[in-house]
Parts: sequence; C-alpha cells; structure tokens
Amino acid sequence: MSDIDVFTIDDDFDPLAEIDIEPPTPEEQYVADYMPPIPDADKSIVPEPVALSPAERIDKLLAGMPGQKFRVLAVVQAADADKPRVAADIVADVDAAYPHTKSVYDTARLLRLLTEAGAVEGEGGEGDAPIVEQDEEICLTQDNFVVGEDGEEYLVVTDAAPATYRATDAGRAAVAHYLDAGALEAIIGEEPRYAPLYARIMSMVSADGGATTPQLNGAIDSDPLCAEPRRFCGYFIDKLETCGLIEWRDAWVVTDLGRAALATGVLDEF
Amino acid sequence: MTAQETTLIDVLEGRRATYQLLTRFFRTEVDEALLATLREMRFPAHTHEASMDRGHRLVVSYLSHADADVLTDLSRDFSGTFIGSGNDAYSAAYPFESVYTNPKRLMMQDARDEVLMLYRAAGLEKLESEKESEDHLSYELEFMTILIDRTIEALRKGDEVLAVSYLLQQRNFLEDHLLRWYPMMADDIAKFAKTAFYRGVGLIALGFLESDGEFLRDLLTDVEGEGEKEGEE
Repeated sequence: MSDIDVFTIDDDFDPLAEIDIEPPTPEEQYVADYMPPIPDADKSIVPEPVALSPAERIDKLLAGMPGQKFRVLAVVQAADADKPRVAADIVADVDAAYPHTKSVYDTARLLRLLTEAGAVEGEGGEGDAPIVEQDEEICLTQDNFVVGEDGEEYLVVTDAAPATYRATDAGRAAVAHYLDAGALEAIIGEEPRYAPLYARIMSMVSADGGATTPQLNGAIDSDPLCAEPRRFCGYFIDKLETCGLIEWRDAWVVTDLGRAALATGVLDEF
Repeated sequence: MTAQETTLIDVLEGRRATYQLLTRFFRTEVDEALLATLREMRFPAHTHEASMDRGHRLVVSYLSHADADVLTDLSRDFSGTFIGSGNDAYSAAYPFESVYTNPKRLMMQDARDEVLMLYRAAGLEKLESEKESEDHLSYELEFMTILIDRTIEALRKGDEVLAVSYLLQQRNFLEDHLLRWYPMMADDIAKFAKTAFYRGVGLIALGFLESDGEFLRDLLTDVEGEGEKEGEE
C-alpha cells in the first residue's frame, strides 16, 4: 500500500462549518476592519499666532531686510496718495525709483508683505457680475458658473478685478519715523566733534555724480579728527546710510531725505 | 468593443485625469503651467459629493480673487501645509501613509514596505530623481493612475478578465491604503492650510477618493453578479 492511498483529500471539508460567523457587510469591511492607532491625534494643534501691533509688525519687517529698508518705505510712500492705487502703478513707481535692486523680493511681494504687516491696506476689486454664492471662504459670481455642451453646470476661474491699495496710519507713522530729516542733527548731536567730517561727506555726495568710496576715503581718513580714536570714512558713511541720508548708486549720492536734512542748515556753519 | 465598454473607458479616462491632477497637486508646488491649466479648467459644480463640491468652490473662488503674487502664496502654503516647521510630528499634514498608520507618526514604516511591495509586484520602480518615500500620497495616487491606464489598455484589447483584475487591484489598493489614511490627512489639511486653495484641494481629494471607492465597489459587484449569472447558465 502506498502513502497516496492512505491520505485522501476531503474536498468538502470546511473548517468553519461548525462556527456560526456572519459574513461582514461591505460597509463593515470598509469601516471597522482596521483603524490605524493614532492615540495622540489631539496633539496635532496649530499654534496661535503671536499678536503684534501693526507698528511692531512693520518694525519687524524693516529689521528683517535692513538693506532694503528705504525701498520698502518707498512702497508705502507710493501707496500714500489721495485715492487708493492699483498695485501695478505702485510697482511701476517704486521700480522706477529703484531700478537696479538686488533684492530677491520684487515690489509686488513687498506690497503684499506690507499689507500683511498693516502698513498698507488693500481693497479687493469689485467685479460687475452679481455674487451668487458667498460665505466666509467663498465668493462666487455669476461669471464663475457656465453651462457645458452636456447641459451640466461647471465652475470656471475668472480674472480677478485689480485690487487697490492705500497707506494706513501705521504705515505713514513708520515713514515719518524712519525718513526723518532730523536724523542728521541727531547724528551730529551724538558726536559733535565730527560735524566738519559729516559736512565734508555731505558736500561731496551732493555734487553731480556723487562721490566714490576712494574719493571719500581720501578726504576723510587722513583728517586729524580721525586719529584718536582711529576712525575711517566707512564709520561715517554707515551712519548716514543707515538713516537714509545717502545711498549707493554706483557712487555715494545724497538722497531726497539728505537734501531735506541739509536744507535745515544744521551743517551750514561747518 | 461593446458600447458598454466604450462608456466604461470614458469613465476610466475621467478617473485617470482626476488622479493625475491630484497627483500633481500633492507632488510639488503650483507653478505657472499648472496655474494656467487651472485657469482654463472647468470644475463640475454639482457632483453629488459634498466634499468635492465644496473643494471645487474653494479652489475656483480662491483663484478668481488671486493677485499677481499667487504663486508665492501657494508655494508658501504648500510648505506650511505639507512640510511644516515643527519637529513634533504634529506640525503639518504630512503626506505619507506611514505617518498616519503608525502610533509614533514615523516615516518609512510598515505602510511604506507594503506599498513598495505592491509597486514591485506591478513591475514598477521609483525613478531615481524621486526622493520621497514610496508611501507619499502623490505616488499612491500615481499608482492608481497606472492601474487605470492598464485597465483601459486591457479593455481596448478585449481582455475583460485582465481588466477586471486591474479593477480589483484598484479597489483593494484604494480600500487598503488610500481610504485608510487619507481622511485623517484631509482633517490635518483643513487644520494647517492657510489658503482656501489647499483647503479645497484637500476636500476634492477626499470627496473623489470616497466616491471612487463607491464606484469601484458598485462596478465590481455588478461584474461579479454578471459572472455568477453566466456561471449558473
């Protein structure tokens, strides 16, 4: 007798035959079969944003990009007009005033950052089409709905009406604070003995074409006033530039603010 | 090819297009090309699926009011929503199955091994240029696209048995993977997304996956029913 005669396969054998199990419905199979264990799901919390006043937000923004401070303020100035202005006009004005900026932020982005900081406020453009659906997140006009060839209704994206912007009180206050013609007087007030040097620098940068760094170095570094403590021209240039009185445009040149500061006569006696 | 098969192919092509779009949404940030496509697209206004309807409205409304800086805004929101800046595993809607199927919310866990096995079984290998782990949402969605492609091909060749096996694979993958964890990620997207656009994308994906699951279940029940009837005859 071979093994094969001993072991026969009982095709009718069902191991679950004596166990009374109801097969799950398709819904149960889908829902309750396995739920991934996420015991700490409630930890998934979005932190509350830190509340800052518009003035604090503007200061933070300007401190974050010191090299672009005056360009950022120029955006606020461009938005400070009798009537709200469209973004394209503001961008055009600022880009004309700062044609060779090296910033990674284009002017449209700066306008957005200033809007978020509260220096500028924007008003969404109003289209002509009547609004048909609106809630806190959605605003759809009649133009957003079209009926297709199949008779079904579809949603389509429409062009946004251009938004307008205007400077806020906080934005104007920031401009007044940072673009202060009294800054030159304050600089001289800190170290009055250097007043003749500041007068010399301001005179040189006010000339046509401004003054190059070697020219200014030659005029300042060897002055006896710079001997003790040893000072170099960069020390004075830095102070003037930080206050927006002079700026670099392939040479050091006086700014409008610098001219206004000189017009106060604070350096006339030097 | 029967008229019924042609209709089914049309439906499958529609599903494939939606999966492709969702894959793109979750793969990288919106760029000029995708934005231009979205501006030209028509979104169904009434799908009988509340999440999808709401999602379509959010996306269309957001894009209809977006200014010139929209791409930067969306890029920023993409990073904030899907990458996050925290280190506690609860700071973003991480688009990985492992994160949502693991108590410690770790990446590269069992779920990744399982989908990797399925990809390999289907003869698929991730491109070297792709750096995310295999259980990334966009890869899982793309896997569905590939299975749909293969189904369409089988139907065009008249191989119904093969087409049904691909449909079964889709249903199983959807139920065993995407529908198991994506609803939880959708909740997190609603929590972390700052723009209506990504909140909308989250809802579109949720509504679509749920309705696609229903579609596949119904379709395969019909197919199985027909099979049984033929067997009896």
